[in-house]
Amino acid sequence: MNQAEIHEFLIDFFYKRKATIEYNEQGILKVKLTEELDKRLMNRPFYWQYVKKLGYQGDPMTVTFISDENKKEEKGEWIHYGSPRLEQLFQVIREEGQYTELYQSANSNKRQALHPWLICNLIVRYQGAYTHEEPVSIGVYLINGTMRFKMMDEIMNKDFLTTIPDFCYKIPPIISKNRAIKMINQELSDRIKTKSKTFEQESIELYEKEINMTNQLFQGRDEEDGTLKQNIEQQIQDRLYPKVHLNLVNYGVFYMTEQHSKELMSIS
Amino acid sequence: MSLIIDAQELNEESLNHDQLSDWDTFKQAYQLSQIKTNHKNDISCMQYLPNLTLMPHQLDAVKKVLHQMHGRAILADEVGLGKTIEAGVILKELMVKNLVKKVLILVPSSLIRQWETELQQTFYIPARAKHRSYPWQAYDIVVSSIDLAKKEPHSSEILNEEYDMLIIDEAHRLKNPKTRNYQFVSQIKSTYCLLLTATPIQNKIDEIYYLMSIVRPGLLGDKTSFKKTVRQERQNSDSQAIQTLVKQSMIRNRRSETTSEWTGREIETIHVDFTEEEFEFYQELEAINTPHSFTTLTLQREICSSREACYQSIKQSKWNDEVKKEWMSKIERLPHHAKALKTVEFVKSLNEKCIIFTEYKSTQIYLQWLLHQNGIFSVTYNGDFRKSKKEWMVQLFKNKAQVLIATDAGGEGLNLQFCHHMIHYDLPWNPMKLEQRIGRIHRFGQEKDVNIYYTVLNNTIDQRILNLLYNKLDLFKDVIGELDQILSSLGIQSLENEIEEIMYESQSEKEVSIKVDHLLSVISDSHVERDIANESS
Repeated sequence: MNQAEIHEFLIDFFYKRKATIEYNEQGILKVKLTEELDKRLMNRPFYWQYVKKLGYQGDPMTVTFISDENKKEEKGEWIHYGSPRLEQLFQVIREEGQYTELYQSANSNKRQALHPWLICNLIVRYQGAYTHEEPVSIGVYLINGTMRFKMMDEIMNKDFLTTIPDFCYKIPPIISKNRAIKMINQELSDRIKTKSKTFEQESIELYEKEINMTNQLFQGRDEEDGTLKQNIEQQIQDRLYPKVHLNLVNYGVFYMTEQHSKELMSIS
Repeated sequence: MSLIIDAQELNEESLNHDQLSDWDTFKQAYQLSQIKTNHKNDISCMQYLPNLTLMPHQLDAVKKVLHQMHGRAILADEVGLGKTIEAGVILKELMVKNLVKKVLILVPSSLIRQWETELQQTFYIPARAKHRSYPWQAYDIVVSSIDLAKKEPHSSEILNEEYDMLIIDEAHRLKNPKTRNYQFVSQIKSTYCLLLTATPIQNKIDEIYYLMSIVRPGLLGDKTSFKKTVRQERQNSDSQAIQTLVKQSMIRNRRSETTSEWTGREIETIHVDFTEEEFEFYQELEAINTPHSFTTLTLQREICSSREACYQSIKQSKWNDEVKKEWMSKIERLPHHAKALKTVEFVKSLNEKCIIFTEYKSTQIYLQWLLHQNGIFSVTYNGDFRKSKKEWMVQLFKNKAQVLIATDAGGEGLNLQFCHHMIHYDLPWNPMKLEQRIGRIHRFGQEKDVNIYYTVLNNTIDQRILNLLYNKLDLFKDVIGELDQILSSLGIQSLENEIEEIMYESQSEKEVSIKVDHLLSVISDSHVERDIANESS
């Protein structure tokens, strides 16, 4: 997202969350928040606590966001990529978008079945000799356990609804969500282990070199230096020992048409 | 030994979500995670800092610390090259990469506020200064001073914490392993660690050993083997064992080597003559015979600054009361100081913001009074001021006052790059002091050429120093950053005292000049220790 795109993003964001847009010109957006957004963004818990105690409605704040460099002097809050405010809005999206159950929209008058898939998006974070992150998107067909990668790319341009479309019915999953996630975990771990041999080796070499240096330093020293040595070893372990973290971005159960399901399975 | 895979987030317990997202939000959340993805050997935090542009040497330093030194290093750039910026970017990057959450930043107490605002405003890092009402564990990112932190109950609270990152500014305060400061810091538990100092070696090569023991214990071996290597190195100047090792965990950029263009430095000397009365008094001072050898020189230097400075020092001297009274009444009869008058006149004609540095507090007050008499608003700044007063003074100088009158003490870390005129009302006898003063304005962020003025009284000690030392500064401008350490390796405690001694012992001006020349050439030739500290690339 670049600076010029922020304005559109803000309109989208607030429109979707039912805030009232009071003024809108390129780079300046004045919004009247909803109570929920105010509580979430404006950090004034005491206000809301008192208002509720007194039995009042409460008045959510109106905020002006400025995203055009040339209009920085106008009255309002300057918002840019990296600013805490934008991060806060991103965080709202991340939290709201953590889990879902969706149905592929199928515009046909025929009765048709929708097949269950679990889609799980992760960031695999390598930490050791260097840090590196790798996004992974995996789908598991909850009928027979077929697994495929780059799942989001496949469905990005499809339409999904929160309610089941007319004339459609869902096929109940045979594999449970939790079971599917365990399968993902297992598969990913196996792949990581075989794929990251050099990363592992490089990190362990580095780790051992530092640990040896410490051992040499403490050779022949008294016991009382024990905690100091432990601290140093801990620090080296935390920094250099090769670790991989699987961080969950979001996941959900997607019901897809039979045809789409077949396509997805054939190109795994 | 093998790879650890942490999949806690995929546990059943952490997978409870009752709120269902719609497709758009789900997609957006996914896309956000894609932008954030970091790649090996990238500095990915820069996209979050659109208003910050790093100079090439700074970017280089950040990359080295993160990728080659794995987050533990000594940042030892020369004054004014932006060590704080480098540290800020490194911290930001480690935070963006989710490697660091809990941070302890220890700085001299005069710099706490500055660090706090800089981290918040430049780096959007929610750092807080330690407040007495909250315990240490309540903070994620806390800024405080070593002096506070090392005291109980703070120190045990801190030592119980496990920090992800420790940053120490002005870390040369940790050069002595026997001090409480050092012992305290070496016990703090922290995964990553940055020490910032412009002078990694001030006196002895050992100092780098102790600093390194905090950052990378064992890199330089144990104490005995280190000493042995140093001795070998002294005998064999081709050997670079220590330098090579130190380079592994220390960054040292030097002003002369940074590729970016520095704004120019114009130096101008303003000559002033004493009035006859003043000069007479000056010569009387020269003739005093006191048991203490250096008093004459000291008093002469003082009278070249202001009547007040000289008066104070006579008043506090151990002379008997009658002599004291006599001299004091002589001073009382002197007219306004010629150099001060000239300076005021110059400031007036300059009509721009400027900083005046003096060595004496009495002069500071006198100058402020004199400027005020002439309708010029000035503020003072010295080491005795409390933190908040210092900040207030700098704010006043930035927004209202034309002149800031400062003494050398308390100037550490002062950033005044919005000003580009500096008057050295008294000339410090240690060129390193001069460099530190100039570094206040001639630093990263200065957009204009910097103008430096020396005010010098003709035919006095001022002029002698100018001829002896200042006109030869070019000779050893390359070593100015390490002057102190070179001096001590030569067994000289302070250049100031050395020069005083030379002046005192010499029979003629010629002799003084030759001796000082010799001293300077020894300094500029001395290189063994210097090279070790001069890692950079």
